[in-house]
Amino acid sequence: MLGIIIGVATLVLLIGAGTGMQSYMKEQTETMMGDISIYNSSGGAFMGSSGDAYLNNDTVSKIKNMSQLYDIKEETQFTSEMNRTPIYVLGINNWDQVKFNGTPGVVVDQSLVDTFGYKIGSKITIKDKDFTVTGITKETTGMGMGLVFLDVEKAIPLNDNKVTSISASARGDPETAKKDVESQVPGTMAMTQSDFTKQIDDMMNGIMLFIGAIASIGLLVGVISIVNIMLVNVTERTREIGVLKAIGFTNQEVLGSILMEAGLLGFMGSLVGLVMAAILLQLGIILFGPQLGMEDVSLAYMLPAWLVLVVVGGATLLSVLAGLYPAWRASRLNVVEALRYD
Amino acid sequence: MTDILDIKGAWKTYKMGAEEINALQGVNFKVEEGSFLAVMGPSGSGKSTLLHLAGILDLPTKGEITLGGKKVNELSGKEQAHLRRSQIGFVFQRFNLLSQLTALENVMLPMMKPDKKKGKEILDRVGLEGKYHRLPTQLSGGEEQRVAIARSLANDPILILADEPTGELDTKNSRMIMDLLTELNKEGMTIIIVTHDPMAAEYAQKTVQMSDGTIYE
Repeated sequence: MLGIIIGVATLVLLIGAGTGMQSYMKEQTETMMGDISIYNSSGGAFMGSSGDAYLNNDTVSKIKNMSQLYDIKEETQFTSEMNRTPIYVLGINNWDQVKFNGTPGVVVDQSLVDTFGYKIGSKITIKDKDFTVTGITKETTGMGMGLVFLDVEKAIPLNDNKVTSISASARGDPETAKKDVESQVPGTMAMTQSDFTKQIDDMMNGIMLFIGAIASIGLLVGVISIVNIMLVNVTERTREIGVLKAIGFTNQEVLGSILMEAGLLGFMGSLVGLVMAAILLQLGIILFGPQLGMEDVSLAYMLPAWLVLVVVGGATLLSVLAGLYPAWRASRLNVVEALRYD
Repeated sequence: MTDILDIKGAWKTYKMGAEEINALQGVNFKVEEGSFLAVMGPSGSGKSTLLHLAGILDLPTKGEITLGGKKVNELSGKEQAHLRRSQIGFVFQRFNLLSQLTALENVMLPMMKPDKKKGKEILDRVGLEGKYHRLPTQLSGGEEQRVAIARSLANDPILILADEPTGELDTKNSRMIMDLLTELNKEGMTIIIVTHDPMAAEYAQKTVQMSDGTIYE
């Protein structure tokens, strides 16, 4: 049973983490971005990487003049350095809604706090402009760079008035708006929300298939261990099976009872494995969530009903299949010989 | 009196490597309803094999068996199992209770429809009032054998077959078990026991001797 427990726990842990990340990323994409995002057609700085491709002033004004789009927001992000420490600067929209003590300023991450001893109210200088630290975030770039957030209105001048991307809401179908932007404004590339989620899906599905395959090996070992356990069980209980047959149990009834036992073993094992995986996932959220900027992710993201059903159902079914051979052997036992067995 | 069991010209041949061993050599054996028979004989005389044939645990290599009016050779494996369950009660030398089940659960095991009330009544009948929920390990050998007899009665069989029922019991418990079987016989149950024990055989109405796969009456 240990095999099944570990197999299921590994499978659920890996798939659960993957699924959780996938749905969390999708939800973030949906809440944070407008209907479409527009970049330089060379790829530019989308998905967080900071490239050299920006939207120039001409392009920006053309986009702003498009009647299909409204609620247009410019975005910028760039890398710089402070006292030879590399930093990643991210201009954020709706700065007023982001409550960092209510005052305009910048928010820095823990690594900069550690390096420079910043605290709330410290003065910092980015590209010769002075700012006040108004907040500290737990998020990190994860790339060994310091992270700085500030109002996009202040960030764009710092980046030589270069706009990395534009996010906008569309009147009508976002797909139509996307085509209009790409055809009417040369040198642009637009992505809709569904493009993003599809991209996340494509990426995550590939990864999940891979880790799923690896974790399945664990489950397979578990299933093989069930074959083994049941064979030992059947051998140990040879005389008992002989008694059952002597008092009139048919071969099918003996077969059924062994299969039932194997199935039950798999079912219980997978439940225990599931609980273990859930505990580990919850621990993972508590320990690593803040670093990944996912502290508000919940277990429900990682263990959707389909995953629980597929894993428990699958492990039970596989265990029943694993019981087939031992059960068949038991049902074919010769009663007289089985009764003599010690 | 009608015959409950009729074994005609039964041969049972086993292959031991190249050698063939005849455990039974053309045995004829009739059992009348309501009788109490003891089959005695040395080890290897074929008495257990005869009991296995009587209980449809095994089929003869040659010969015919009729049990309760049904020709056993003509039945499918499933029908044989059904006949065994509904018409025959087995009692073994080593009790063979399921160790993880209570006395009552062991008695109810062969029942088509588990009936607790009936199970308890049968346990009362064999003198185990109030020990329904004991596990086999919490019972003495004599008590275990009484549970086994209760189990054999679960489906109101026409025939009880007991293979060395006193083989693992002391004299006092052996007598209690044989007294119980005698009582059941007086109530009309047909009983066949196979035994080494002359004391046990004394309880039977009739004793048949076996040696070398043949019956001597």
